[in-house]
Amino acid sequence: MPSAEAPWAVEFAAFAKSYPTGWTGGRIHALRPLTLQLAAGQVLGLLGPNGSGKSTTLKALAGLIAPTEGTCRIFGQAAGSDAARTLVGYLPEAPQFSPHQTGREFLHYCAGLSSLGGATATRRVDEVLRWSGLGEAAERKVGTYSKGMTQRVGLAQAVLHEPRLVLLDEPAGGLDPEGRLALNRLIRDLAARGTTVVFSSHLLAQAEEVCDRLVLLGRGRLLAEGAPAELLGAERDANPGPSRLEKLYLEKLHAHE
Amino acid sequence: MHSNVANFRPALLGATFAVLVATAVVLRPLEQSLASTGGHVEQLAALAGRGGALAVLGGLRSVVAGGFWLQANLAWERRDAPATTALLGLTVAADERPLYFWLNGARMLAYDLPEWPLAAAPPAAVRQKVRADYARQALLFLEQGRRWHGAAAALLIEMGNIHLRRTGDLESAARCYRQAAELPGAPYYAARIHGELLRELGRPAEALAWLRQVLPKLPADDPAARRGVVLERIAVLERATNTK
Amino acid sequence: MSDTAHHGPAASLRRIRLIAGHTLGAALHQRLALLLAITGAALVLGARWLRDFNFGAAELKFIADFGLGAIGFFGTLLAALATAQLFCSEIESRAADCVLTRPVRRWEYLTGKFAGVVALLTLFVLTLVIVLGVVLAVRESQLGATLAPLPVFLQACALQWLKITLVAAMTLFVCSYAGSALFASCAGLLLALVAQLRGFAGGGSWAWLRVWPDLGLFDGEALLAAGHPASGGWLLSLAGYWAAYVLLFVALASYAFKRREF
Repeated sequence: MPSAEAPWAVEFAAFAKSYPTGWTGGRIHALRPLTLQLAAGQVLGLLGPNGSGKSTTLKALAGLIAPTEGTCRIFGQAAGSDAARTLVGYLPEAPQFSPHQTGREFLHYCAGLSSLGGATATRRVDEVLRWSGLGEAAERKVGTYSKGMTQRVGLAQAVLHEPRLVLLDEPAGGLDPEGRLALNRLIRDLAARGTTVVFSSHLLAQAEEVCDRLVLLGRGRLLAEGAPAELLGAERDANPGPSRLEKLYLEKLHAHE
Repeated sequence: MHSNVANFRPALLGATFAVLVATAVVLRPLEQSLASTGGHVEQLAALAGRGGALAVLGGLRSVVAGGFWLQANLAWERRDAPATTALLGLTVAADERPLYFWLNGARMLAYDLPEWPLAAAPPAAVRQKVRADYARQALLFLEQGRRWHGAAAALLIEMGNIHLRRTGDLESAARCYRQAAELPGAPYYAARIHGELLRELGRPAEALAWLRQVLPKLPADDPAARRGVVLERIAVLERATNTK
Repeated sequence: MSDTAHHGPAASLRRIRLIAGHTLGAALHQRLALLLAITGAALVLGARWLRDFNFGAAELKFIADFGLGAIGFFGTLLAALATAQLFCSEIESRAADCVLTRPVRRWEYLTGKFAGVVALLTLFVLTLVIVLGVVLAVRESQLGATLAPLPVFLQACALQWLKITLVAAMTLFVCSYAGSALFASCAGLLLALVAQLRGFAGGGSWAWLRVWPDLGLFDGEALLAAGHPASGGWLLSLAGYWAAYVLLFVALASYAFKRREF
């Protein structure tokens, strides 16, 4: 359990986000009040289809959106505050980076923005290039990268400054099976180093494989949350396989409708 | 949510507009002290919708005005009086700086345009009216030019010429030549013509006084000053008025 | 990494410099900047052959007037289009998310973007001024005449630079609200036109124009036509007017951008 010295890595308290739909006073609820805690060093998977609130949850943690109600804290700091942003690494969904820069130049730029300079920046850039498997493509322009390589350079910039919390929005989007396996390995590696990881996915099998905890979201609502084993329970043992999670998700979604 | 305005908040826009208004009010005195002479509104109205925005937006006024001038000359060749008049207006609206446009535009208005309808040999009264109307238009055109080039003697001399040749208003012609002669850099002949017009108006004493006042300012070493001619006229006027 | 490394003016300046450099790099790889610079330079070089459109002005004056016009016109286009493109494309591609989730403050990001665009515009103006200067010097030596003293020419060019950087600041202000590069480009150009026409604003229905700066005050061509340098006091006042509006637009843009969600 977290203490005052070591607070929750992620803490949502009745966090809700809605947007006005125009002059009529109507609102779209992107996320209904969400209360959730995550301990440091865990891997949390946010699962759900498009429009379920996964990206909203990640953007709230990244400080890119402000709550309509409630709070969101990272290691005790308000999300989006100067202090919180030093603790976060973020990979947006399907990003496109400056095509005119090489992978190494882009990472050096990101290192500078995170106040890494000189030898430290060079060392960290080399490390993350190796870690993400981009060592050989480091001098190539980002514009020539494949989708998988772009995703890896995105992941590299997210972990470059050794953040305590890494947020990944649909990191497996558009990746082939080999790419997904590599991604899973990288996420597990981050967790092994004590980094807290929150990622969103609509690939239930992948989430089940790498997550310590799962959150099922549907139409902005929390449907279920817990460790994969807790959620799937005995059913998993009797009938192992990712289809169980899919079945569970559909059951929970229908129960809320 | 994707729209043209991604950050739409009425309160934010209202606050922004209020700050803009406040800044404009605070900077108004500075702006007024920096601003040049007025008269811009008419210039804008003339340019509206004729490619003038290009001239206003980023300069290139010479070329845009040149284009209008060429079009005015094409209209002149077609003997299309309304188009010629309109294009002359656009030319000076796009670029008011060259005197060339004002002088030659006024000459076209005063001397060429009235002759086109007169080709059919209408009665003398109609002929006179047409010429007077165009002369008035040319004088207004030059008057507009004087707002930009107040100290340009050439414009006043051209106005004097039009009064002299087209309206027959010697009094106005004399006034224009005198105003021109009093401007720095005016040609010497402006003063001589003013004196001559005073004589023609039957005011030889006034003409004599004027030429006597002008004479000391004429350089002896510049043939264009024609001191000899002025001395000769003074002598003639002295005889006519019995003064020495 | 110590937390203090993220704070303080030195850290802010370092981040602004990085973002400005990144923006300039991206701008120099865009076809737009190159296209406008080449077109502007070609027009300045070709001014001699546009004499068919010159009536009543001395040739050197015509070339200078035309060259400054080209700098002002293409500079205005570049200021509005490049600012909109560089700002909005990074938001649309989500690359900005990776910057804004780091210890980079929103105002630092905007100031860096603006500084990058200003650097681009400076390079653009310098290039065209050099081309114009060479064309004028060659014709001056051929004709044996002089257009105007060098300080007047340089002051006229500086006025064009002030004008187009102010257009960039206004476009940045639009960008802080805009949801697309197309909208920001169109709105930026429209504002530039409104500000250029600002000098025509009288009372009544024109009064609303008065909230925008008067770009007509930055009339390099008029200064060159006058042929004598502007007084130090006037230049200082104009620079103050420019600085006040640039600061205002960057501050307003920062204020709006701080409240923007992604």
